[in-house]
Amino acid sequence: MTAHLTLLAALVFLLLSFDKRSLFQYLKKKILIINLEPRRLDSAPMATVCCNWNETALLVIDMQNDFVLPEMGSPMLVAGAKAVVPAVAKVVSLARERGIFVIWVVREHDPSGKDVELFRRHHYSNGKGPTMKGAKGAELVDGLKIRDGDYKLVKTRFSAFFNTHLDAVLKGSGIKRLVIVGVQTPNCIRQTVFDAVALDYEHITVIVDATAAATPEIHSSNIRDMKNVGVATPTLQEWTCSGA
Amino acid sequence: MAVMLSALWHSLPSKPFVSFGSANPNLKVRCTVGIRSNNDLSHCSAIHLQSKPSACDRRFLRNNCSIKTTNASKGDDVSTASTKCGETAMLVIDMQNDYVLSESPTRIVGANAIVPSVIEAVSVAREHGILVIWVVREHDKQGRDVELFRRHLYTDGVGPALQRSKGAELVEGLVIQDGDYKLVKTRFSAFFATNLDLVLKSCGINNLVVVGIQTPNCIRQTVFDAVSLDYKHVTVITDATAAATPEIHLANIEDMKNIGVSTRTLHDWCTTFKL
Repeated sequence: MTAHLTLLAALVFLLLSFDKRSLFQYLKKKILIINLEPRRLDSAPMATVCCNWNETALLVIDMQNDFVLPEMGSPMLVAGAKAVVPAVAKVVSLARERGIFVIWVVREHDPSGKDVELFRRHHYSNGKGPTMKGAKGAELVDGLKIRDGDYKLVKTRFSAFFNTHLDAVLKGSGIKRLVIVGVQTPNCIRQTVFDAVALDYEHITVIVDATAAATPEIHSSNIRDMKNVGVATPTLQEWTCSGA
Repeated sequence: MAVMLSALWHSLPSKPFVSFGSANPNLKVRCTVGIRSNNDLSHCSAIHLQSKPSACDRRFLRNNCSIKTTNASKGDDVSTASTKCGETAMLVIDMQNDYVLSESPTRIVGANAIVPSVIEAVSVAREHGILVIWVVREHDKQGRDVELFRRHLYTDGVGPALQRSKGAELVEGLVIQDGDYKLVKTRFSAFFATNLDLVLKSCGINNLVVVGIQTPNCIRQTVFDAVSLDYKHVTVITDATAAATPEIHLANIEDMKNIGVSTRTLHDWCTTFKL
């Protein structure tokens, strides 16, 4: 009888001290969660079930004031960027709902320009230049916010993988699939995508209306080239409905 | 004043051999009027080498022999087209049977047509002491070292550019010579997971000239990586590179031009040399 009471007391003690919140999050991450209720987004059909969200990361690339807002007067403005801000915000919101790992990839440069590509160094003088560390131009545009659980990655070249620890972060988190949004299509988007292909990520998606270039022609010719190396190129609507 | 490099090892009067400021301390030179303290050879009418120079040393010497440069042609993105040959390497990318020959199922459609231009570009590069680097794909027959989206091409010991296969050989007309360098890659970019950057930097290479195939993939990825790695001057010869269609080729040339890459025809590039 005493032994039984002791055992019971030990079990009660364990139960009370258990981290139930962590257990719930672990189970949510690892076990298939079935949508029992229809979810409607902008009159799209119900999102299909995906069991790969826990292996998926969203890379939001260079959505910073100097690249997006004309009023910053930056030489690095990407003409098509402002128009995709709402779409990028939607993708981020949906990614969070799905439990996808959100990674904010940004450029942050030294005021002297010593860490920027040679062909852009002339933009850096007198302590001023595009996306300088700590400057307003380097901040994310209004409407995009880094939250707890997201990850911020600073890069200094086109590709998010170039001379960064991104691959280690992704592999260490069990990420095998990437979804990419942001700017600009021929440079940072494309270089990141091609490096991801080279690094054997199993499934890479570029959301075509949540990425942008200087002109629609440049954008679509780069989308075509990425499609030709096995990259998925859905619209936001299509991605919303898909399990990829 | 043209500088003659003596190929024979007989002595010149009196001046001592001195180490010349390259990465190789064994490179010793002398000339009739003596080497100046700033290691400048431009005053010499002839120089003599104590021992046979390596390919890197030859290039280094040419670099210091004041090869004349010309300004860039109108519309170029850079203000001067440096032709310091000793600091320049030519990357000849993927000109292999499986990607070029019309009977190959994995050929790049535009590739065969540029073979004569690539041959000429290589010839001109050699003439001017530019280091020629043959960049090739050589893959495992199981496809274990090829990109995921191409692995289905490797079955039953058959696939594109297999190691030691005929398909992986350079096309006829392109031959690796002594002094050239062969680099094997397994991804698009010649810099991806290879020692190319190390080889180039140790040879004092700052400038690259790129020919071969195909423009949207291996050419472009190599070029973008070269820009990211701060190579000072990167040139793509537009009619010695090719893609599946002219539209794809031109769109990619335009994108590379927009990041400061020089995009010249073979004829234009050749006219930048003046000795």
